[in-house]
Amino acid sequence: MPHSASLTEGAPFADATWQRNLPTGVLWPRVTLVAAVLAMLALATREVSLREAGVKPSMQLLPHLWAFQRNRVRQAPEDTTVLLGSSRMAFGFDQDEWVRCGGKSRPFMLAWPGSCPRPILRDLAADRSYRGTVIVGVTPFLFFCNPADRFAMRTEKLVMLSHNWGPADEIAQQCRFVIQPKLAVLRQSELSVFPWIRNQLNLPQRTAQMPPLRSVQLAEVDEHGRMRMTQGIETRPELMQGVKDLWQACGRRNLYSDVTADAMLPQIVADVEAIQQRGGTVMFVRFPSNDWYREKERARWPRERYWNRLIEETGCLGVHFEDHEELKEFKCPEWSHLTREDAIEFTCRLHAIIHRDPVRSEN
Amino acid sequence: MLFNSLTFVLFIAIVLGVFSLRLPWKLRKSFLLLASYAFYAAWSPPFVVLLWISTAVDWLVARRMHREQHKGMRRLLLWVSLAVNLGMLGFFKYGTFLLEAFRDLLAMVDIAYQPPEVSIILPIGISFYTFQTLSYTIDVYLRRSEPEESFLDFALFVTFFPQLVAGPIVRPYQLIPQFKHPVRATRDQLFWGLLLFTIGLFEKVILADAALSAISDTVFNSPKPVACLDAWAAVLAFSGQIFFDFAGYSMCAIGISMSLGFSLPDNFRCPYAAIGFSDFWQRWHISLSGWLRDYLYIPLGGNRQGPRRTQINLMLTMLLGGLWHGAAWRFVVWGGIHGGYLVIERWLQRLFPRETPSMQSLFRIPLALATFLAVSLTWVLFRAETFSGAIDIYAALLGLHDDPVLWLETFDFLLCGTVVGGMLTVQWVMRDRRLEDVVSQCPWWATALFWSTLLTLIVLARGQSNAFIYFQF
Repeated sequence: MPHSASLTEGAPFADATWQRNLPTGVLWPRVTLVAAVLAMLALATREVSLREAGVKPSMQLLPHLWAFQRNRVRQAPEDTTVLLGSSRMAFGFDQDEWVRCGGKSRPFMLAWPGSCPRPILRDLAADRSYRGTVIVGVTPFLFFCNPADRFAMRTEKLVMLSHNWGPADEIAQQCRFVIQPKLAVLRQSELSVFPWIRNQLNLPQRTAQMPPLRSVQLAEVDEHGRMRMTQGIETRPELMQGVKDLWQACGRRNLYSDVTADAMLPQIVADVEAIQQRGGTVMFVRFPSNDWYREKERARWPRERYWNRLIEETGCLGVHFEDHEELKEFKCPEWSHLTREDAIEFTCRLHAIIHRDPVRSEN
Repeated sequence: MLFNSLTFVLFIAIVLGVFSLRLPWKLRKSFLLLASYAFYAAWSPPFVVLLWISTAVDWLVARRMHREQHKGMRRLLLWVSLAVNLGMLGFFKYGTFLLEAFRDLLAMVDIAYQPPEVSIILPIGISFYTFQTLSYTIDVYLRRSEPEESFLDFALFVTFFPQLVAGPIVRPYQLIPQFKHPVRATRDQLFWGLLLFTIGLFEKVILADAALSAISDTVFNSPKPVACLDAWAAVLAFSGQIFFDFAGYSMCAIGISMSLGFSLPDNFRCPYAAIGFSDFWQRWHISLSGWLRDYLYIPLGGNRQGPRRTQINLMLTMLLGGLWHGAAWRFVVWGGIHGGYLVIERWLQRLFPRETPSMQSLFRIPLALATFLAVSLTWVLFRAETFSGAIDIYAALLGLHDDPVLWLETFDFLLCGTVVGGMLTVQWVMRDRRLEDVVSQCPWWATALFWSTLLTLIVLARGQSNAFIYFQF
């Protein structure tokens, strides 16, 4: 950086009339017009091809959407219901059906895929204005994750974003609400260029044990943060296999040592009690999983050491899908998430189960 | 407000529209100042107060300092400005770090001290605008320049929104004179500015975020030791990511200013094509390098007091330059390594004072690659969040881990190789050229095609809309 120079007191600086150079001889109106038209044509072509392939516009699952919903909870009546958890909650809980089945108000979706809801529960516990019902979806490997697992614990960043929410974030989110549900071309990740190239190349993996991974457009997201499995995707075995491969790859990459439930229960209990002391309610729901996923969960996070301990220690209502005949029969086509039709049915039955309990039912 | 956000698209459309109206110049400047405050307040309205404090203090101090003939009084006024500006920077940016350092210091003499837990939010861009206002006051103190007469022009210099939060750090002489006469962007300036903005956005949104960030994040966040190849890919990916992120922001800032009719200086000139470290620092974050040179290195004595003192001055400058980037010892060590690089380079230059031109040209590419590699290795300290994390990555680079994890897929290597390889090639080709000259020589349709491709990819291939890395500094 520093090189020879000698500036002393009173020495003049550079020329004050300095101006940046410009390209010369460029036909800017023509260049700009053609560039704009070509870009519009390319995007329109992509939009049409996506629509023809059955791709619908969807909100993008950005942290800002979550933070927006979290801030809406702050403005909502204090007894409002919020949904925490990971993708199983986001896929498996249908807010509209909840209201149809008798829920007092539309719950806010604060579940975030592939993440641990504990930091969000702590945030709600610290929010003195909140005294509603919290329904927490428990996906064992995420809910009971090691606090050092930064991927799962990125919900801490979501919470921070909602606390630092500024006017620019609000305006940007309102713009997203306007344009994202109208344009399929704005859909993120699985349909954007790099994942598309990866799918096309289908390169062999570095190790023989891993199948080549492909990006699959598994869900659509609405403006309330609810995820719904893409219509009819469960009938396409090659796509379902792609998702299963992805789960298995993720399972292999879960490299954090397991933490006992007892290590994290004191904080969870404290958070639950804080909400309860203000008149709120907390309940836990174990959404369905099956086959490879369920076996893995049984082996690594046995319910007697995790789920049961959670319910015992917190004293909250716990609804485990395996404990209820009406929930047992649901089958996830890719082992981990309910289809959109099943989510409606599951929500209705879950509502009935929760409201069977006269003490711990929704406020 | 992020440049890569829909809010900014709306904001800049309004600003360009209103600023181009045929209104009195003072009114248009006032509008630009208000827009700049709105731009800053869009993150967190209360922090605009810090901008006001900095503006008011430096404005008053500089004027009084200029009138004052008594040397002691002038020095006192300089200290007032330094205390206010560096005090705010110190509190918000280094408060926690200093407390922890104090705790560690006491622990060394067996005194247990637990500092109170404080949660201080870093006002965005404070390091940038603090340095900018300091340069104004110091210049007036050294009588290099006169204090600004127009408060409006001075406030706009401090707050000019395109470069407010992440530079380039402009000097008073570069920007204030441009506020003196009515400015209206010519057609060429408007379109060239928009093209520069698009290029900057492409660098940030596509190359830094969509292509490279996931590769470096995956490996640097690994809970277990990673494989050698993965570590190398992640280090190279982060080298590309931090360049595209920061150079992309600077390009956006220059483009936006240009489309308003103002000129900002270059902040990057193909730094990864640098041959040697001195060359690197004349190409990377040029506005900070220049600031540190003029306000730290040269006042310390520069290279005027013999080789040994020059080495000490280089080290001190680079250590403080490292600390400017972040309140952590990792950044200090990063600066120290770069200082060491510069010292070694000077020593080698004395050892081999004159090479023949043919020898120089023979070694240009290997030397540039060696420089890139050496710089890339220092980025590990930037990206890793702890020293132990950085040491793990260095060990992985040497293949020292047993049973390491293979994080990256084959496609990640292909993507990283293509983007980083492309970046190095383009920077080498453009090393001694200017983008303006290249565009001047291109047929119009090639420029149009290039521009439309960037626009299309920005929509189709964007990653998460992440904040710019340098905002945290």
